[in-house]
Amino acid sequence: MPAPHKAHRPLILSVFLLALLGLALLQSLSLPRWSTGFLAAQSARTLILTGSTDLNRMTSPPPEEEGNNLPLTRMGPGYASVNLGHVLTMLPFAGLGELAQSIFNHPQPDFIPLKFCSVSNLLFSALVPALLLALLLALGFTPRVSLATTALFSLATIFGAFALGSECSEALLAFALLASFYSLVRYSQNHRPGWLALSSVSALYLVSLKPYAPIFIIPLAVYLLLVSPPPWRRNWTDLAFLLLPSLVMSGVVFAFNYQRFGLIWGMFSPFELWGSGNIASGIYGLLLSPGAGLFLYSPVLLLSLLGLRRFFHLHRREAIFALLNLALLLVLFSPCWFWGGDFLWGSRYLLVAIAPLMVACAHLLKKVSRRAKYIALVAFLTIGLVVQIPSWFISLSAPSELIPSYPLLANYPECSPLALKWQALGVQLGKVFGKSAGVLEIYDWSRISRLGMEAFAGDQILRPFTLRVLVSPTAKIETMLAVSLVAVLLIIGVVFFALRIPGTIRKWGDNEKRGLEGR
Amino acid sequence: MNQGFHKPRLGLWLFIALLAFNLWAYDGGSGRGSDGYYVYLSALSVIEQGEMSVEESGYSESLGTTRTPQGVDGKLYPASGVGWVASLLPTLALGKLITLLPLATTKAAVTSFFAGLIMPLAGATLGFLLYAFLLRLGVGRGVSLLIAIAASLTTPLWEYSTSASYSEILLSLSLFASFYFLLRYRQSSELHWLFLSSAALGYSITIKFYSLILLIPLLIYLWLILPHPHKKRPLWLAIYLIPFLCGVFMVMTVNLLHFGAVFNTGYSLEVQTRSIPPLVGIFGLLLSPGAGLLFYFPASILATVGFVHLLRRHRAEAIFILTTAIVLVVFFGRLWYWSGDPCYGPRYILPLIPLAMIPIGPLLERLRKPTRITWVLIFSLLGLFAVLPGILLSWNFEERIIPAGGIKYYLPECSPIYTGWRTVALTATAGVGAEPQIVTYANGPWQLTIPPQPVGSFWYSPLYPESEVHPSVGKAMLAFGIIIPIIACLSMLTLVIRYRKAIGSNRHNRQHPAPKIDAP
Repeated sequence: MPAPHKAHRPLILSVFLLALLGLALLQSLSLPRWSTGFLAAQSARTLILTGSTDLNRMTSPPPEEEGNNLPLTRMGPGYASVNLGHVLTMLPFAGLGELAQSIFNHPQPDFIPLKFCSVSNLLFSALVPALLLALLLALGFTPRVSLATTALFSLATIFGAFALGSECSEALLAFALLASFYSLVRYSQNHRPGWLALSSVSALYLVSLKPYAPIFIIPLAVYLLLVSPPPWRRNWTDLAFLLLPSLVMSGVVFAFNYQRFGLIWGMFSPFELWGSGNIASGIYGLLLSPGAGLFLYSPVLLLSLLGLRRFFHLHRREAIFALLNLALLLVLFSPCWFWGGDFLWGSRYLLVAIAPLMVACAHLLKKVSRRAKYIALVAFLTIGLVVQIPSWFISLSAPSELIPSYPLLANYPECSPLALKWQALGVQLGKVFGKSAGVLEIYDWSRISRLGMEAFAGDQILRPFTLRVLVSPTAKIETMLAVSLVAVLLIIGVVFFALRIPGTIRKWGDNEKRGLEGR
Repeated sequence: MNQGFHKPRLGLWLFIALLAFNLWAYDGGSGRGSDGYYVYLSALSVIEQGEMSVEESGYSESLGTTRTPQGVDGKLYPASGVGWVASLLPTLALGKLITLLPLATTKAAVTSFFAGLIMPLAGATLGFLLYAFLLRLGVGRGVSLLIAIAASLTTPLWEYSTSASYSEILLSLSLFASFYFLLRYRQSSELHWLFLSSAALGYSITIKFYSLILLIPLLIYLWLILPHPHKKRPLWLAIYLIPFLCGVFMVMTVNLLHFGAVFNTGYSLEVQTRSIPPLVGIFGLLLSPGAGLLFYFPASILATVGFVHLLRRHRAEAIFILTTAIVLVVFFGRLWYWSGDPCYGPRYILPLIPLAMIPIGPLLERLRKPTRITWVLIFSLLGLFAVLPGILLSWNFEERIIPAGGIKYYLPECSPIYTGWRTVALTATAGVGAEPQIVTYANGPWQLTIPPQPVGSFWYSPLYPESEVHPSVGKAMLAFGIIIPIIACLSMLTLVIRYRKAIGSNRHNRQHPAPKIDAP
């Protein structure tokens, strides 16, 4: 397998910057809301200020955020149910935020630190498309196909929603797994120990992010064994090199959890949760349901399905890694009652599996004719954008606030996050044109009042969809929409410009060569 | 191709085998829904009294459904079309003749049994037509046979071919026949095929008035295949519509006579016009575990992949299938009764299933034989898994005590496939008289009651020990109950043997072509 050409480095860097710019524009440093992200940020702050993650030690306890309805303390004295990796990720940003707060002295002491914390998710998330592009180039795909696949992944899957919101750590998890996998791919190509070390560090970070994250070590280890050259003894050395740091980190995480909750797993034991739901319901829910179906919320994966065969033939080891990864997640989450992941946006537990599966999509794009490639790209980008747009503008946790019995209703098409967020967007756009929302009647079930819908929409759309850096938070919604429209057009323009970069680079190379030949 | 097709008579044996399998699983007209029941009464009334009106028998109250509508003359008429009533007449008349024999105690059961026989016949005919269609399309005999058998015995078509409750199998047959006749017209340019196609569609209108929507894809297909110049095409379309319009005229006349208005079919206005957000119905029809096409007809995945190949090789046919799918799904996806409950699977889009089997032909032809067999086996087993609960249990088994209305279709735990298998398992382990099983689902508050039910709502079910049946009828049923499975298996075996012979002779002919004789 060819290693990515040096000329591709600017391309990878430009994709990273582009992703960062796009995410920053859309997210605009809004506060992390709802449980995990907010609590992780507060825990990081507390750790800096008091040397402990006990939130009760804060001189000014965190303000009661609306929607932040999970109890801060459940089992420990004042410990939030957050993971060590998530807190550590936010730690430097929280430190910088505290420093900035001491300089600017904002009347709300946690305002600036929390904004700084939300940057961490943004930064790591922007690395994911760049890593995917690097992976595809490393696997021998042309820059055009790689860029098209990366664009599809970034704009037409649920990744964007989780990269924008700081509510969950799934985007960080996706980054860590992809970084580890990419490093292993590079290691398989040149056998430099540096790549293995990088993979090991990424895996170490990975296991610190979620209590279930150690299972990702299995596909990584399998891949390493598959790609390692003989003799076998060296394989085991490599394997130990990959696994030992992760195991040590797992021990640290367990100790961290035990110290806080008296249970190594954190607040809940996985053995109690696994098997608490119906497996058929879980598999259907994770893959196809209107509430969180993988293929419904990331329709571009249908292309991956079609490209699987070719993927398996041409990159068998990578295909085994991607499929094993997905299978393990399905086995882990489908028998649990909470497979929906609170119905935030799509199957958030499967987000980690999407990026490796995009290689299959690249195989399909590579196989088809140029015209078909263009049609597929345009069609799936359009479908993907139609699906994703409301998730960019409406807070992830919105539907569960709106509907009380969400585990059931989110599986109903009308009450799914997709439908509700589009409704909310429609209501808000209607308000721009002076139209009030009607009663949302749910077939055979219940009604959501006009008032509730408007309040929900007005509240949700103004919070994350702020562009507060550019526009005043108190600006009218019309102004915000206009500015955001310009921003989105700008992003699309830059994406298309970026698509031309490889061609331009090639032309430069050709011109240079011609010049040399001429001399 | 024609010579090879006629000689081994594979089509005939296929028809016999499918008919035998359908008869084997036939419910004997025992489990009729309200529509099916009143149509049966109406057909009986036509034979006995010469009029279509029926007498209220309290059946609707026992079912908890609305009773059949009252006509302008104060009499009760079936809301379903006159075509369905007419379809029952030939076999019902045969049944009436048999009741003249001295079997006084079971006359009603015998007439009911014979009245519903049209459904197994229609199912077998549909399988045969699918086979013939694929041959006409240039698909090999082996693949065509495989597809026809798989369509007839591993999709919801089997369930509806064995039940007298619904008319969807007749609709599927008439739409497919109409399409097949148009293909014959395309290949031969003989006008009578055009006439037959239109007549078949006209027949479907007389069964259900909403079949009118199927005119759209047929007209598009006809427009694409007409060999005449563009200017003359509207004229040909008008000619094509004449037999169809006769059907429409007949339905309107009956509506006018019975209910006082040409468009009043007897169904309440609310039923016909109340709509829901299309997202609910369309998603439900295609992807919901309770009534979604994907779950009841897993081969739809193969059909979707094969569609690309069909589009390349047979563009007009592919466009017809696509437009039919869109028309059916969009039309029923907007109506609040999209699920067609109580029934098994996506009842209203049943006519789509034989059409969806067509793209699988060219797809399988491209594959090597072992791969082909593997795919057919996998999807047939999946299909059988989905269909068997519907075959084994009675038509309304999935009526459970579920608090929510439409949401049950979206919860896998409430899917008839899942609850059906649980019912079968419960009955097999605990017996018919056992306590209903309470299953908690959706993580808590809701419960599903699974009552044990006699497995097998077949025509020979009265032979169960606890039932009472006339001894001579019992003997006859027992005899048929043994003969029909034997016929089914033998005819399938004959089909395979004849197919292998036909393949062998073809190979022989290819290897040893007849010597050319020079002209003197």
